Parts: sequence; structure tokens; C-alpha cells
Amino acid sequence: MNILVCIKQVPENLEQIQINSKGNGIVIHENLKYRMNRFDSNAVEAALIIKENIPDSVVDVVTVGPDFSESIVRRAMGMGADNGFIIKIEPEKYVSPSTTSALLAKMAIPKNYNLILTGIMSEDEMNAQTGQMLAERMGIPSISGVVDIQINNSKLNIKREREGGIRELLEVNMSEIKTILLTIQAGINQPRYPSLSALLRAKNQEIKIFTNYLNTENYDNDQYIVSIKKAEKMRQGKYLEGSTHEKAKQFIDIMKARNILL
Amino acid sequence: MKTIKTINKIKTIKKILIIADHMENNVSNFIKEMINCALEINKLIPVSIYTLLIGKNLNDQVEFLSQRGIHVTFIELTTHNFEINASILDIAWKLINPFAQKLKPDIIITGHNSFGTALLPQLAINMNASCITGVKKITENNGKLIYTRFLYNGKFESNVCSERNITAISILPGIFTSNDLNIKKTGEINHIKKIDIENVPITLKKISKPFISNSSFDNADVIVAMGQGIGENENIEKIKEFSKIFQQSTIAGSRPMIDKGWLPYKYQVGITGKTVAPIIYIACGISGSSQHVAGMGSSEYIIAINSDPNAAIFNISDLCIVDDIISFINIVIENVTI
Repeated sequence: MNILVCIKQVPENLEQIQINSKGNGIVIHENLKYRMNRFDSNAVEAALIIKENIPDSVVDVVTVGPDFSESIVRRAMGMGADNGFIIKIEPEKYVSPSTTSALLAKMAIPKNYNLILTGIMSEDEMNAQTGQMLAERMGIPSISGVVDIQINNSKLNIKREREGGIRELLEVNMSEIKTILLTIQAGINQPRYPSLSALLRAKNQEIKIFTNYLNTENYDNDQYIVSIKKAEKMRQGKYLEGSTHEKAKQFIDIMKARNILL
Repeated sequence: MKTIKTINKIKTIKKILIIADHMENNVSNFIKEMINCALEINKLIPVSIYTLLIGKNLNDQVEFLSQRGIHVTFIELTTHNFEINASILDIAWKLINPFAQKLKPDIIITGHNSFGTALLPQLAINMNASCITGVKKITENNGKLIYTRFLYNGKFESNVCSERNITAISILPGIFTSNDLNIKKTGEINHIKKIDIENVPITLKKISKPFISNSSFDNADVIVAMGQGIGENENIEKIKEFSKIFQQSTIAGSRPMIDKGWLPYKYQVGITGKTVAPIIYIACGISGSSQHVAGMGSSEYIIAINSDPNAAIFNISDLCIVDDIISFINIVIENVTI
């Protein structure tokens, strides 16, 4: 089975994030660390589990990102992915999911993937769009919010999460279709930690970089960001002041006043 | 010249198409929020509202919406054409597309849930629409609508503008009011019975529901919820102990706690779990992502304990405690149990 996993880098620590001086993006400073989007690590793990169970499977990983996205591609390779690809864009450039999906489609269409996996959304922008858009651009079926994948011969048994813990058990006959795209929900698995030796090996593996991939033909930003700011306060909360002891005392008094302490 | 242009612009009535979320052939309360969202837009620019429902036995809901001035198109799935045994999620798009192409809406609204997340991006690509998901507020500037949505787990928010003639948005649940609609008009009903659905390669085998016999949330006045910020697995016991000092209390968790296997699913609060509104909700080490807030945002009094002073949870809290959670809780327990 030929599998493609689309991954994205997100800032490692949300506390480090600052808004840029134009107020329309975040500051990308040199010591900002990045990690793989959590949902995408679940997607990589899901692909590796399939690879372990189906002989001759190949797992490719791809990201649309600047130079420093290399580390997450190497991490995925350290986890066990076979080949890494980067579709390069400038770090400060905003690309909407529509554009990202157009770039991914350009890369994926000529290859014969049976299965394409993405995380259901990214933790930074939280659009939950790229996977479904990629499927539509490729004209392939897709299932979003996948929490379980089982493969029995040519049948794919998928569990999809709906609201309130309701799950749909779906079956896809892979002999009827060429490719299917699944967007992966957290909780499907626990992503493995790459061993040190695997990481070292991945460090020397070649990563194919596509430069000048973004052109007028596939640049398809459907929206623009006017401004970014700290989220609005919906309730004007009272902050407790003082030492931990003092705060605890005040907290107890407030709870007593509300008659809920035993 | 300029004045005439402006007048023309104002007179254009925009069409809004609401694609109503529904499971098991029941239209959820969420549809009222979507309609109220459309009415909010109507305060900014004049609009006419169309709703599309797909399912079985929805006549009451169709009537309900029509009596409130909403034009309703009801695509009824009869037993005959439902034999293909597919989930509504996998066929909805095929049913909606021809209708949407014909109506030519300027704005499409769905809910930001499993239905909208699956449907909207595909619809947007197909209709060359701008796709803006998880919308929490809509404002206007110089005749252009500005959509506000959360970033970075709800810590930041961005104002976004559409760059297409059609804009497809999904709205966060629980943000727009679900008050009953006060429109004294009757909307047209368009009932479509015969629909040919081409075969979809995804077969629905079974729908499974979580076994929650009687939720511990139902009788709780106080819910003590925990998130990733509690640190170690062992601290769960500490949170449990803390919850026991309150009357009628229970514990809960945000999604990552359940994903990690630290708490069973029945304790999950948020979009993909339970929606709760207790008298007091105490969020311990919960970042306050919009997915979690959607499940507890209407609690009467919200207390947040978090070591990150910028955590988004403080934006929706009545009482904010910036401190190390376990040290704080330890002192509270000590002082209460004396």
C-alpha cells in the first residue's frame, strides 16, 4: 500500500507566540521552536501501523512550509516513514488551506497513492480544511474525523467520530477505488517516539525539496487576514492576588459564600 | 456618481444558505444559532435566508422554520433511495451541490462540527468559495463582512475577509444565541421527494453510541474539570480529592485527558463530548480551546486555575487563579479539611 501523510509544523510552546508589528501574523523569531502538529503525529503513527501489517507498504510524508519544517519531516522519518518531501514556501507568506491543498494536490496527483492521511486540523490555525479540500481537488472520496482504521484484505473498516461520542462504522472496498483520504482525529493511537539511532539515520536521509512550486496557477488564497489580536474577554474575571496561601484562603471564602463547600 | 454606486450596493440583497446540521433526522438547536447568525448578518447587510434540510420525517421542523419566515428546502430521503446505506455525511454533499449551484448564495452557513467540517471545504472548492471555519463573530467594515475566528487554542483571534464572491462559513456552536426567532412572516417550503443518489464507495455499517447510562454530570452542581496542565497522571487523584470538598460535585476532563487514556470517555466535556452548564465549573489546567469552551461556556460561574496567565480559559472565567494547580489545591484541601 502506498501511503502519503501530510504534516504541518506548529510552534512548540504557545506561550512564546507574539503578534507581529503589523498585527496580522505572528513573529517568527530565530529561537521559536517547532514541533509536529499533534493530529499529524497521529496520522504518521496510523500510517506506520498499516506499513507494519501490510508487506511492501511505503510511507511518504510531505509538508508545505519554510526551510525550518525540515525537522518535523526528519522526525516522521525517524518514526519510520520512508521518504520525506517539502514543498517550500517563504516563512512570512500566508497561505490559506485552499492554496496549501492546491500545492499538495500538485505533488500527490502524479503519484499513485492508495491512502492519504492528514490530521483533522492544525493546532495553530485550527481551520480543519486542508484534508477535505485536497480530496476534493483530487476528486477522491474522503472520511474526516477518523478514530480507527482496520484493514482486512481489500476492505477498509473505518470508525468516524460524530458528536456526543457517536461513532459511525464505515466500510470502503478498496478494489473499487484508487485512492481515499482520511483525516485523523486525536485519540486514534499514541504516536511512537523515534529511537535515537532512527533519528540519526533519518538525519542522513535525503529529503526531496520542491522549490518554486507556488505559482500564479496554484496560488489560491481565498481569504486574507486583516488582523490578529489577543482573544477578547467574554467574561470580566476577577483575579485573585497574593501568595498561594492567600489565594487559597480567598478561594475558600468565595466558595463558602456560595454555599457549596461541604 | 459615487452616491448612486453606494445606493446600488446597499440595495443588493444577499442570499444566505443555511445547511442545517442534523443527526438521526432531528434538527438540533444549533440550527437556531445558525439562523440567528444569519439575522446578525442581516443587521449589517440586507439578506434573504434559505435553509436546506436533508433527512426523513422532518415535517415538523420544516413547518417550524417556515412559520418563522425562513424559506425551507427539504430534501426528503425516502426508504427507496436510502437503500444505498450511506451516512448522511457521505451523500449530503452530492445532494446539496446541485441545489446550491442553482440558488447561487452569497454566503453559506453550516455548523463547525463533524457535518460542517466534512462538507464545507469540499463545497467551497467546488463552488470557488472562500472557506472560513469556526467563526465566532461577524462585523462589517466599508461594506465588507469581517469574520472573527480563534487561533492557537483560543488564545488569539483573527479577523478574516473573504476574497471570493461566495463565502462559506462554519460557526462555532454555543456562540450565537439560540433564542426563538421573532419573525412574523411565512417562508416558502420546497419539498423535494425524489432524489437519485449515485452510489458512494463508503458504506455505513453501524452507528455506535457510547454507553453512558446516567451521566454523573446531570445532578452535579459543581464540576471540577482537568486538562493537560495538571501535569502527571498521578495528579488525577489529587483533583478527585479536591472535587470531594464540594457539595454535589463530579470530575470531568478536556479531550486530551481522554485521548491519553487518563480518564474514561464519560467524563469528556466539549464539542466531541458532553455539554454541561453547572452552577460552578472549575477548570484545572485547561487551556480553554474553543472545542472545550463549546461544552461548558454557559456554566453559571466559571473558575480557572492555570499556571499560564495568558491561557484562553481566563477569557471566559469569572474567577481567575494564576498559580501552580497542585500547590494551590493542596493548600485549599488542607484548610478545608481541618
